[in-house]
Amino acid sequence: MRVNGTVHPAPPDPRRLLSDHLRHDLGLTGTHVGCEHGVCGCCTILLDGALRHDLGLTGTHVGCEHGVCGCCTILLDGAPVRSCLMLAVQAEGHEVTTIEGLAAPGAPLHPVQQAFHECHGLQCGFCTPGFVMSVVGLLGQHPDPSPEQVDEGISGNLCRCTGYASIRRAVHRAAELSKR
Amino acid sequence: MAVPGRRGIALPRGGDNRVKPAPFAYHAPTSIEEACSMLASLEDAKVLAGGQSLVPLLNFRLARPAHLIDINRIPNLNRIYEQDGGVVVQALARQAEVEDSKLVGQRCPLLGLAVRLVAHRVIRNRGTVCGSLAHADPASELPATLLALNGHLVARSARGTRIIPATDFFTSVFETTLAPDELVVEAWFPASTGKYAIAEESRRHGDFALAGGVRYGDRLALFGVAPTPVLADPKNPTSGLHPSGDLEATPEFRLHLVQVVTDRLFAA
Amino acid sequence: MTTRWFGARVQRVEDDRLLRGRGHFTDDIDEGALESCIVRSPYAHARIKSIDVSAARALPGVKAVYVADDLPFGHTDLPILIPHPNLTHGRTSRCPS
Repeated sequence: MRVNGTVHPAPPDPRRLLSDHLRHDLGLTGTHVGCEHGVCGCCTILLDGALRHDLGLTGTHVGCEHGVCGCCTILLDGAPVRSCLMLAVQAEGHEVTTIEGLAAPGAPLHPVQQAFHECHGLQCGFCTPGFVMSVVGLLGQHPDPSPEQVDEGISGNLCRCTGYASIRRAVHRAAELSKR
Repeated sequence: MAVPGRRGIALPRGGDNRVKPAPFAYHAPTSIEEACSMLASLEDAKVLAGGQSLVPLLNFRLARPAHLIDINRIPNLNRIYEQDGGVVVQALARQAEVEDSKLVGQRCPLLGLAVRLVAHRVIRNRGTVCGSLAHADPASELPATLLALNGHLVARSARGTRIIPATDFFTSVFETTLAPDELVVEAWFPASTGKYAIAEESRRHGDFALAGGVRYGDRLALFGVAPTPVLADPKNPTSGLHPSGDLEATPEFRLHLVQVVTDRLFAA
Repeated sequence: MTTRWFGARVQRVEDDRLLRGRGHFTDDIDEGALESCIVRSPYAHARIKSIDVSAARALPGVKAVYVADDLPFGHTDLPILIPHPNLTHGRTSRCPS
């Protein structure tokens, strides 16, 4: 699978979630390639686990662990999906983009990230990567979203800190910044 | 939700091998025939398509199949096309694809409306229509939509092909007449001309419905109020219903919602 | 006393790393820490007759299982207020921790 542009082999345990794989295994190379047909038990790691624990990409967070809170949202071939609901092996052959892949280290923030900063769309920052990835997906679908489309588009992400008003503003600001 | 005993030990960086599901053997067939052959020969197998319902069950270990058959590698199984005026949705067509489909918007707009009520867009990017039907959650919108439209599913196995009408498919909570060796390869939704509508009540947008209904013409299919979607008489929708009570709603409240939803569906 | 901040727009200084996914939340920290979970009474209101942790202690990977008797309640100077003896040795009510 490609994660933020770099090719990585499939994680060793088939039951591993993608989120755990991404978060906890930075630099893991040369490990068992998951067999594509086989019964090796290599490939069931969940995507969020794989991202966090195998690839050391801890920007993707795990909240509810059953797809409801949106903290684990990443892009799969450009579309937002829940990494806690994917086995890591299912990402083979696909392009995974995590929050770390939106802007290269040292490079300017992606317009969505910039908008969240300008509009105070984050406080503790735990839900933020999931929101940012969902909003990138939303603006890909609706580059000029109406207020209803914004509310609908962010309704799948939960935030305990902000009360959502600033996040709403951030999405509209992100649409503006993305048009430039 | 805390699940005692779920956690293992955190290991030093690079050695963490936490997993959530119980052990299973993973298979990724690349053809329908291969998938059917696996379903025929493997005991205690579950099909993995979108995973948006199955993976949480695996993670909480509420489902512990010995074998997981991931059908996502099967090519040419994600089409949405016209048939007999209606729309066929193949097994790997994502709910988001159905939502965006112009063909669905033209031929079966009721399906388009129904799929927009399923969870949230991010879930719909992976979830499949056929998966939702085969999963048969009583609170789901899509089984009731298939029932209201009087559509059918097509199941394949090593033994051949079987067409299963919606009225013969759903038997109980998470239970259908699908045999253990059968794979749902497509669902057919008849054209929705005439009057159609879907309405549901839930605590929050995107939650499972406490009660809901699908109207097609004079037909009314209710969901969330019985072990399966049920056809009801619009003039007396609560007759014969014994909805369950749980933390979300009492039986009486569900019956009340059935009347509210029915009135809304047939108001126009 | 300076008044230059009165009414000024103030931007946060911590956003960059949080937005780039470089925050350090508890689950991001991998110091080899053990993980724990708390087992609560399944009954809201009941009398505890016994607690048998032998099966839990025998599970592979389990480093320790503690019940109230294992902990130095009453033997330290720390004002340990919970659990109340009623919760561990008497009746449970509500959710004991």
